Amino acid sequence: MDRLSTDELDWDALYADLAPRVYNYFRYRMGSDTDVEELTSRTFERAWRFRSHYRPDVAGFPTWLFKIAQNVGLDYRSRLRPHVPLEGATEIAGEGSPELEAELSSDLARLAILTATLSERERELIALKYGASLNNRLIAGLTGLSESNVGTVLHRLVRKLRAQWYGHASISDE
Amino acid sequence: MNDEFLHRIRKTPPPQFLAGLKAKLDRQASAPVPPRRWSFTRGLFTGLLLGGAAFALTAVSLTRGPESLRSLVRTPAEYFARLMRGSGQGDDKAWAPGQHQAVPLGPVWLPDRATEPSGSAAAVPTQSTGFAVKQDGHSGSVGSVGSTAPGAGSSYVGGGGSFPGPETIRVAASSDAYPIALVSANRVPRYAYHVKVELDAGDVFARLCSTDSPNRVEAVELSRRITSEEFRRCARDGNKLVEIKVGYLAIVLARAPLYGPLHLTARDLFLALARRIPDPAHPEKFINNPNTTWNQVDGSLPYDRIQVIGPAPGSAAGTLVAHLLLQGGCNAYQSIMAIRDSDPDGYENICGTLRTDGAYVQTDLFGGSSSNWAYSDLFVTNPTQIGIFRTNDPGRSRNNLVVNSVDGAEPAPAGLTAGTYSVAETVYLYTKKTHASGATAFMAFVNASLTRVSPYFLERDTWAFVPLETAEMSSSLATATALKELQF
Repeated sequence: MDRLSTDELDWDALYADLAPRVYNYFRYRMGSDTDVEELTSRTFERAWRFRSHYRPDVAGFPTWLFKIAQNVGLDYRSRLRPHVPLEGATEIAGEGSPELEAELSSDLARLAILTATLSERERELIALKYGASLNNRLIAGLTGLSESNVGTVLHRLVRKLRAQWYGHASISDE
Repeated sequence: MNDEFLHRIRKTPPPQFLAGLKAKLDRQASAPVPPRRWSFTRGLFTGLLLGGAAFALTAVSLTRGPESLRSLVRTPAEYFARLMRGSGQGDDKAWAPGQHQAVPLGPVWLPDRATEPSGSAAAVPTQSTGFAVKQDGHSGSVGSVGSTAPGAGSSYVGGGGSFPGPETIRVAASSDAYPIALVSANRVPRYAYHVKVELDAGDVFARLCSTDSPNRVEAVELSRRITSEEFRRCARDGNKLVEIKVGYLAIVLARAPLYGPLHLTARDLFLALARRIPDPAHPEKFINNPNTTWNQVDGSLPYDRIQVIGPAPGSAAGTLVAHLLLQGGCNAYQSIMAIRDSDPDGYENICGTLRTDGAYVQTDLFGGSSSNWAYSDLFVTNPTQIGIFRTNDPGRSRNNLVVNSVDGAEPAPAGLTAGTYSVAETVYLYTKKTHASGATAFMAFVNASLTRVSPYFLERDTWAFVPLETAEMSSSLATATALKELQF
């Protein structure tokens, strides 16, 4: 996106483009649909209130907005109880209600289990790439990595997740 | 790269959510545009340019410029040098006749002697001279008040080549009032006045009312009113006191709106949160607090676990919270009031010590300006917990937390003024009439103390301070200006 001045930005178009991306960023990042609407609202409310502070000469609007989203997510996660370890999560899901079973079988829950073993940075990369659909250049700006490094790390991550994903699927199919 | 399995997890947000959020954003006003900051390079360049110009001008004026220009440059420099000298009066001897002398700039109260010819050592009033004048009670010289305090670092030396330091007063403050006094002192213009604030948990009125103590102070700031005994002792020596109300220290007890507000009393708070409470069977004995639910404290309260969240008990904020939460109920017990004067440490131990067994929970989220939301969010997810808030807390308002009344009063200005809101203290400033007469430094301190500051800009240590309402502030200013004598 070209860097226009704040007066020239089409806020309606930006909202239409970015709201689904922020929404999905939080879904991928949190690994569930819980509180995603609240976090998306919080991000946009904060961004809209301070949009006059946005400096087009420093960063593109999506970068600025996702920086806010990252902070909102960080704030949220810091207040959550520690996550149950992966083994524990599987046990809980396995012995839970039919609803939980159904949720586990959903792709999002499966992704959450697979990414639970990844580092925070790796989970962030997955959420930015596939949830927010950002290109590697924007992700590099948001994570402090180089663009090529983002590409390399993502490539390895996808290969690893794909192997686990289809391996998991074949086990459950049996 | 086959990553289709990752893409297909994406989902379109519910349209009603997107529409609702958009409508909300359209109604939301945008914050004003912040002032544009200078870039580092631009600032550096401008600084170098200005610095170089100033250096060149100074160099030229001190070597080859006309006398008028040299004087113009030298005078402010010497004036600032004078201010920087502070209490270093011993350096005055280094000024020898024949050195450059300049007409000092500065406040209008500078003594006329400052313009006397240089080198006239006999005409130079010294620190001890100023002290002697004050001791005789001739306080007409405004600048003499500060100089009465030994070691206060304020004195003026006139035409002998030195300059007066800022007028100084010393203020003793109790632990709860100390942060308030300190902030007020920092608001006083330092180029003219110097307000030294000292923390003193002892007999501060002995220091104020004394005429010969080396530790005497010109003012006292407390989070309570002077007692009749203290007033009598002070008046016995012929002192006339002036009492100025400065503001209040108050906290708000709030919780999530789910179960509605609790109607508490000061006694409930004491019995719920004090580490030790009187034994119901033998009130003269104290036991470790056994109460775990609110209905054990008062049968009309709900069967909810006692959990009050606030600052760490050992911190300044925690000490203040302990006093505010406990002292109202504590003082209602005769057995405790009996030891207030005879055993101050024992009294503080009972009336100033919060429980550490989980009924009072400290949190690091308390008080940080950026974490107000995080702090208030705690109570939304834990609706039976009670949080400590300042009277005007944006986080509390955002989450619509409800305020619990104490003794039927809410933390409104009316309750504070009338003294019916138990978890509040009134902050008073005291001085002797003779000290304050003509003391512009004292008036500057009073003005700074009464200045209304937006709660958003309150310093961290003064989070609980509530400024006076307009009518009360006018009354306090009138009392200070007229030096109205306190009648007890």
